[in-house]
Amino acid sequence: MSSTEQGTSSAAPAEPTTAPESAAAPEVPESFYYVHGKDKVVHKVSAGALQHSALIHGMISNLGYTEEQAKANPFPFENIDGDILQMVVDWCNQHKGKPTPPEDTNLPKQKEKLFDLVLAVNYLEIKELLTYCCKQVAMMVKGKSPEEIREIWMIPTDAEDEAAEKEAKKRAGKEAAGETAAAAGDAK
Amino acid sequence: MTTLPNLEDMPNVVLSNIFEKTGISGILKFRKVSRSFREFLEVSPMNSGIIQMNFSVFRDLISLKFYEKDSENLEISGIQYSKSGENNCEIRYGNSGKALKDSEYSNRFFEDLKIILTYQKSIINILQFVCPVPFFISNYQEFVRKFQKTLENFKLKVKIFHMQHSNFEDIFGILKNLDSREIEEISIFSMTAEQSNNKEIDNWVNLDQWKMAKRLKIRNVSMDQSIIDFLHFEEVHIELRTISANDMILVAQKFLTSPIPKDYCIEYLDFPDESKFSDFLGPQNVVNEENSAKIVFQSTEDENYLRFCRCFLANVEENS
Repeated sequence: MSSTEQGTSSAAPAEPTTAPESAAAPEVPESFYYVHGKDKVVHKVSAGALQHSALIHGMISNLGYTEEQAKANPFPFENIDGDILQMVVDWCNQHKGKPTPPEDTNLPKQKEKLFDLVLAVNYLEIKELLTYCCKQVAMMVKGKSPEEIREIWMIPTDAEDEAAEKEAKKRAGKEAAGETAAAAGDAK
Repeated sequence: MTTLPNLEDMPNVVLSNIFEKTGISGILKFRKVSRSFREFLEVSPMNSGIIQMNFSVFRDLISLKFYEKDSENLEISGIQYSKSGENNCEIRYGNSGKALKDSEYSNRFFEDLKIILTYQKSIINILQFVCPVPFFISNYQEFVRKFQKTLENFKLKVKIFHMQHSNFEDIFGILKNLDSREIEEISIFSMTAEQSNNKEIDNWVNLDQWKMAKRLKIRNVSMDQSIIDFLHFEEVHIELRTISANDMILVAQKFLTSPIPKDYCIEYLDFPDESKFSDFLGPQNVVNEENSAKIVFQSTEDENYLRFCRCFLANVEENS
């Protein structure tokens, strides 16, 4: 339900900006921007495709770069792995100017990749893709017991949590005691 | 990235998004996964989006079924809480089950219910309470009392409220805790044909829920109420002990002058001055249907439709 709503609501504003352009001035070429991830591999992406990302869209909307300026200043996303950024760019290109379907089955099945993709997509604020990714995660936990979920997603049990906390407290206590001892030593 | 993913490290906005997609079954499950999820779920205001909830109460068993809608599919899932042995309880969810020692099944149910209702922000299309076994061998009344108490902390938004009951008090306590702005239909069915405490309905007519509802169905119990109390409904299906020509003329006039009433079915035991009403309607508006013993009155507008099922209740009483 929410995905279709988001799909139409965010696809709608894309139309007025692209449609009149192509209708009134078909000669104007589409503008392109450049992005790279941790691996420094630069991707050339059209402004239309980048509209999916609220973050990038906000960055480029008031920039007024020429083609040369854009090329010379690729947006660096050092926190995103190259292959993940590639996935994101591919998705944006595929869904450029199109209303997004309610399902997307082309997401990575591998949980590590999916996890990284979720983080990247959340950072780049690509609402529809985030919805798909979250749905995929939700599907992965379906029919699983709490124990199985813990195992799949590396979540410590309450007991392990408590033990770790106790350990941390102990350490903090020791350090504090060490400090006071040191302070006392200093005073002497 | 080479780090193994821990779901707990996801940003909160992502977690909320995921939990909304797992629905209430996922939320209940994640609360058991870890303390941090439990804490997160306690403070985050997400919506589980249940669209229908059915409660069935048996003897020593409560079954909860809920219908959820994700983008396209309707998903039905259920949880069953039952007594097992002297002090133990068994909870079944889908194909998996769990036995809890020294645990009372209805307490477990009401604990979960509180959680479920906390996440229910959107409108429930249908809220239904049924007792599929004879109510006197079930734990229905106790269940209803506890349910009323639980409901006091939530203003549940419900469109269609359907409930089986053994007395009107059962219903009042639940009805008054539903959000009056959303209620459209009150549909109740008595499990006992005769009810001593018929007067309870006098309290209902002052409830906002009563005033705001559009459709009312009260089945299997005949009431002493005046028909005047029902005139604000679009659809009415009720059984009255006695109706009078004066009251019925008011009903007919309402049908002729107002767009509100659309379909009334009034069953009755006694109508002493029926001929006066027939005269008022005129022969062109009275249709005596064969077999069904109905008087059908149809106003000029097609959608306004008033039916009288005469003798029906008397027949039932004679037969039983």
